[in-house]
Amino acid sequence: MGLKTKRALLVSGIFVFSATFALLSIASMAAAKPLSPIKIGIVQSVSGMVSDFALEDLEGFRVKIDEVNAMGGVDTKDGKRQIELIVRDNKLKPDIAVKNAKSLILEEKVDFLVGCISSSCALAVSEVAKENKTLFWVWDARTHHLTGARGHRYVFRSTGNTWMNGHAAANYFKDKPYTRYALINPDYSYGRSQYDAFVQGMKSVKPDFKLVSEQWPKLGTTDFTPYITALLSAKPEVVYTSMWGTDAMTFIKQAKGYGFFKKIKYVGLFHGMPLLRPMGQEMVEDIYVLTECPFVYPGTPENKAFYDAYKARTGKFPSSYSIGGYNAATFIVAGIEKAGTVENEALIDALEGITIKTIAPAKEITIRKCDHQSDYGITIGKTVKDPNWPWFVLKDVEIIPGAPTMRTCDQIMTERAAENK
Amino acid sequence: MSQVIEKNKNRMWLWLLITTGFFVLMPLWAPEMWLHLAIEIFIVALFAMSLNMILGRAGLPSFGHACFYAVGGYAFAILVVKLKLPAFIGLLAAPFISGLFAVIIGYFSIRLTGIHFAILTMGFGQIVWAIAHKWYSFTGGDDGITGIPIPAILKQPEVFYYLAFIMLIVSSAVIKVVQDSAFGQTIVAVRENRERVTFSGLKVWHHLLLNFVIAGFFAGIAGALLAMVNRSVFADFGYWTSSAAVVLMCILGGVGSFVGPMVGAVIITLLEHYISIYTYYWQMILGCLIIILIMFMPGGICGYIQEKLQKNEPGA
Repeated sequence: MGLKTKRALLVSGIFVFSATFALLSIASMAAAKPLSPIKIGIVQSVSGMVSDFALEDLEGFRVKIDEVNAMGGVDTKDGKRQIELIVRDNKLKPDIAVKNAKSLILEEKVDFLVGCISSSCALAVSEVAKENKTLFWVWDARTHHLTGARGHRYVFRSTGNTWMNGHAAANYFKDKPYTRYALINPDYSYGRSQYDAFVQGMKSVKPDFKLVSEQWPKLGTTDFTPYITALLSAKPEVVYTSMWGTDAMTFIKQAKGYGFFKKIKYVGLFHGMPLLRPMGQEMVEDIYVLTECPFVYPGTPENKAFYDAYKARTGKFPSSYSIGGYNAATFIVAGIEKAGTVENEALIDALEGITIKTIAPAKEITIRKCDHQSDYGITIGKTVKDPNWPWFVLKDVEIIPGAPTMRTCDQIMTERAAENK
Repeated sequence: MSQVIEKNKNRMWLWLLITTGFFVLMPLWAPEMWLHLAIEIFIVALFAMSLNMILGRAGLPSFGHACFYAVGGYAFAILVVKLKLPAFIGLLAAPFISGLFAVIIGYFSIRLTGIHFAILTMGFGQIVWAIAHKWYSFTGGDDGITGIPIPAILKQPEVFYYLAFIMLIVSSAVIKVVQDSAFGQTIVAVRENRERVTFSGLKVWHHLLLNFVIAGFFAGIAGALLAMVNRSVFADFGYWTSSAAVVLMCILGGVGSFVGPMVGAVIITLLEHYISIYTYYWQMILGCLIIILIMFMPGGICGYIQEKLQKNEPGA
């Protein structure tokens, strides 16, 4: 074989090889053509006063999405699709939330929106969602107006709301022997709504309910002395509060010095992990705590799996906020699988009336068709020291079902009609 | 010398023509989100310009200006939602209601200067905020008022864009006329030497109050536009941090220049939007940028440009 033939062979060999390779890759590209990911836009206050809680619920949401993506994605009519999350920070400001929502819809072309820890953010974004006919899923903002008077086809919530929280607490205390109640709530819409819900709930189920004192410290109060002494002098049997975060922590620490908890049954709404963990051993035993999901580890296998996945991701155990995020993502994934698409109208139809299993004691949550509000039940337990953990845990945990605390569909529709008149 | 002024004037008109042309034609080619951002910029720019009548022209540092912005928004929302009035009446009435608030607040605070003025305006601003925040039955508390109905045609971003643009152009033209009038010059004179103006027989206090009310009036227009575009209004709009943010825009753009506040509004709005896309820590980046800009351009961006231009001008 001459040198020329050798070279010709080599060149033609290379040519054939590369041509085959090219053809093969084109063929494989045509066959596999990966589906574009589903884009979820998240409007959340990841900076500012409540950023810790906001990040906790965001991470909970992410754990579920990671789980689904690791399995190849969510099943749709066209095949499995990955889910991509795009987060925008609204600095706890409703006007920035509106801008973020628009930007997510128009610039990022997200399929739908989720998020908002503050009620003002949720209500503001809800308007954008309504106008753009884009699904908006909320789990942490609690104002009952969101799915009540100001609700519409495009907004959903997978947690309870202020109305349900207050009525759940009332349902729990209706059979208890206490009649003298005092309330201390932060002086803003959330505290006002929680006050109304509890007082109305008690009045409707307990005829001998007596409100002996109401206190309204402003959000961010550092000295609770006047409130503590006022509460003590009113001699209530039960004090109910919707204070949260550092306010609740400061209150408990200061009230301890007055022997407050020896004289009075204290009932703290959402005093679960977000409060028990930072309070550590400074917490008081035997106070009532209402939370959607108390800390239990290892609990059930599903429970342990979520706790471990969350801990692996963030380095700490999840709170009820994180479980709220996880539930929300579970709903959304279930909805997409049921609808087979992310086309919003079909997805909304699929989500109406949908039920998921949750790791929370409520076990199952259903989205009501008429108002898109979930019937997520809440639990109540008493704080107790646990040698296994550096924080207090809950004992005697009871579930208060969510469904009986919801207003009827008729009531909601009447309210909406009045609002839109 | 007059040649230089003439040249500068011509150049100014040219720039004005180019920018106006740019904004007039923008809806033809720009993506929708740009229009939303531009609408926000127009509103915030008008708000910043109204503040500059007090901050820049009168030299009084107001830290309560956002309350007029919020009052404008609430006035619009309450008139339209609760009283079921048409949106254009709301838009017409809102600035007058803001102006009324400015009469009351100005009456008490305008006699003071410097830090005392800053604190008093901030105090009044916080009172207005607290009322909006607490009066649940009337203002919705911190749940605000949402679902504000506006005419269907205004829901198209292009149409709203032109509405906001025209409002900005007309308002800034009026502000310019006021500033160039004898009245406007008196305000500057008061800033430079209050005693001298007093001794020359002018009623300083009346001038300053009127100036304060006009500023409140235009902030009210901006607030009403914001309520219209968001279809919602919240107590947050009137919180003192919102006043501080607009002070920052004025200082960044340059309080000594007519377009300074507008430039500041453009820069802050765009930075806020685009940096936050990339990082959670956008406030830190924004903070650093602002420190650098203010350290090296104490007269604001427009002040810096003016200074450079004057240096390059032979014989200037």
